[in-house]
Amino acid sequence: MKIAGIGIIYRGGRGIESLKKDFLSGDTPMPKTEKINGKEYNFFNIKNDDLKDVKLSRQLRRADKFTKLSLLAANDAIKDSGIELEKFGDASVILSTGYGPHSTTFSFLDDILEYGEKSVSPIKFSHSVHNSAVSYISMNLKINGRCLTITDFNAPFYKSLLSAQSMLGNSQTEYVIVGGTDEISQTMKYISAEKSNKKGHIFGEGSVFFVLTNEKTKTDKNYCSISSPFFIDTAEKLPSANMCVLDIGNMICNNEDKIKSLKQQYSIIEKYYPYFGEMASISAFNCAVSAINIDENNIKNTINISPFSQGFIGVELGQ
Amino acid sequence: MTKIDTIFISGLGAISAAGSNLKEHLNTFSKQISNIKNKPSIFETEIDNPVFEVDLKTKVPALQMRTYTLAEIAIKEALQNAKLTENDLLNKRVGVCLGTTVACQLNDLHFYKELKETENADIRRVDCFLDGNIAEKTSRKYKLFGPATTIVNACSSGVDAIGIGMEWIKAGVCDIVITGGADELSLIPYCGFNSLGILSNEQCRPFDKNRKGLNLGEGAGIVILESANSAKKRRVETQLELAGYACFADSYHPTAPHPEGIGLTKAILDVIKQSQVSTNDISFINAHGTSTHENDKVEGKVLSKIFGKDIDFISTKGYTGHSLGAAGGLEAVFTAIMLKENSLYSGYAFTDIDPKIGIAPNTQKKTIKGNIALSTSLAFGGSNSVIAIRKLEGNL
Repeated sequence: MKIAGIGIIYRGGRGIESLKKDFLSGDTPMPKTEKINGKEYNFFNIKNDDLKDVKLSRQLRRADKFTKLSLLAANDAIKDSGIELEKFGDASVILSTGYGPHSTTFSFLDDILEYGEKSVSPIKFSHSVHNSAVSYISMNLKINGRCLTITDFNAPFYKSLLSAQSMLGNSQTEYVIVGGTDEISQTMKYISAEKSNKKGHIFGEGSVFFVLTNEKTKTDKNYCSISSPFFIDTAEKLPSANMCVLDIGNMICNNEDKIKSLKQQYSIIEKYYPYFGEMASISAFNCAVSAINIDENNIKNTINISPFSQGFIGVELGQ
Repeated sequence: MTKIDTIFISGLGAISAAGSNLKEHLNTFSKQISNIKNKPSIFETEIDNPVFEVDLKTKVPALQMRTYTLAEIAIKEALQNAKLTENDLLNKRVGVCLGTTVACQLNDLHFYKELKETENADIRRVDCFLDGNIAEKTSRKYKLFGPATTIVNACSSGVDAIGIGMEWIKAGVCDIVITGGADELSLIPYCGFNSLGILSNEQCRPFDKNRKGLNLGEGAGIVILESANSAKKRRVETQLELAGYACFADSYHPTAPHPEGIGLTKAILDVIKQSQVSTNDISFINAHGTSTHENDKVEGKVLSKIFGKDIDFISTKGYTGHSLGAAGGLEAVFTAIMLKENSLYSGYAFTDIDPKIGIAPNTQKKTIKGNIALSTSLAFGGSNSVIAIRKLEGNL
């Protein structure tokens, strides 16, 4: 598969130019800090202005933050690819997430507690469903192929690439728009602060989408190739690469031994979570950085890896 | 003769209000029994709409999601049905792909209320959620190395999980995939569906002129998919094949299906093409048939348009209720066992044909003609998913 377009919205702004500027500046961004139940919670928020879009304002009117993030990133990925929107009619959309639109879920729970079970909002309920964001993308960008949402705490983005590869491999579609989205809510801040057993966690939110197509398809842009994910039990079996990008940064996984074993395998190991914050969908953001680095000839190839309890899951990105 | 890329269904497992295993489900279908309850008993609620609740014979362990317990029971039956032990799984590339809706949502009302009132809620209440991604937890339980992912495509999650599991085997990533769907009855969707005005205050009547809406249900339907190579090596006694999967979006409305069923039509035609058969070869359709006005009208119209007025179809939701993320898994299992038994059972509570639909579901048990059937799922967000299951002639 190859990456033909990228759309991103995160702490640093909207669009890949924001990401490039952010990395070029060499500054390490400072997170905001809140004291929650006596514990420190560090986080990066999306700026409200970045969620506004004049052209998409009508479509975004009723959408919650999770949906806005996803729709804007998917829209920008298509725009970045330079491919006409009409060509995406039969395309597929896959969204990966760790926690879905939980702000809306909590808002729906507020309705139950404040107004009673019989007086809740049907609109909030329909938006609290995990696949609501993908249905917005499908409706507003007129995409009629397979629309899929997957949720995992460990590397959901890589697993979405498995489906993307299948669809492109058997010519079901010419383009797959695949990405990852996660958001922060006040309740999630409390849970994260309570569950974090180490200091120094920084939690983040945002969305990144990619336009993927087959290597053979002609496109204006071609950031790099991206492999189907691998599932490997020990570090020794991992493929070699110029650089290893480690997807650490979610509050569930804690695989110190596996991380140590990677240090013996790769001379350069990078972690980008200080730029994005930690999220279950961090691997999607890390792939965006790898793609830009490869496109700008900063590096030839990278291997991006998420350790999990039974082994390693990851992808290779290269020229 | 089977082909090298045939995807076998080597095991099935099911739990719902209609039974705790395959045998009990067949008995319920055969005797036409509805185990509907006036209202849920597993949570307190002010809403009085009937539901299909599972009579769990085992206690859900503390801090474990009910959804996972339901999945665990059906997975155990499916693995036994496939003659696979836990040790067998260790030596193969096994993936887990499960659909759900409730189990992926952090919607513990007690925790949230306590947090709002005291700003200091007991965090252990959400541990079952953080530990409970059903695919990842299943993968950890059996120490599997393959991919594990949870599909959250609303009401089509179960069917989508099965279709994706099939693709993993076709791509050579897995030898075996534990797949299907699981969901529990929960206050949150119960309130949500009530707010949408689509819950019936009586037994649901899929495709009936006088249908009033859906009844929520719960359960798990699990399918063990296996590559031809693995099945052959194990000398599996299966004659069922997953012949195709398709999913297309309506791009129309957040909750309602497209009035002309655009996405569903595409999905049905695509799956028939993948299965290399024609519309005339389809023996029966296990329809989504939720018993809501819109779903049944659109689905009935599409089935009538594609297959003609004499097509055999049923909805099993009169026995199970609408079990959301589990529905596609359960209905795949029911489609498979009916094909295996060569018997199409009837749905429940249908009496009057709806002139707006023009076709009626099967009301009497009958022998199946042919060897291929479809199971359809329509979801919130306008996603339409269909699988085809084929009964193969002869042995492997």
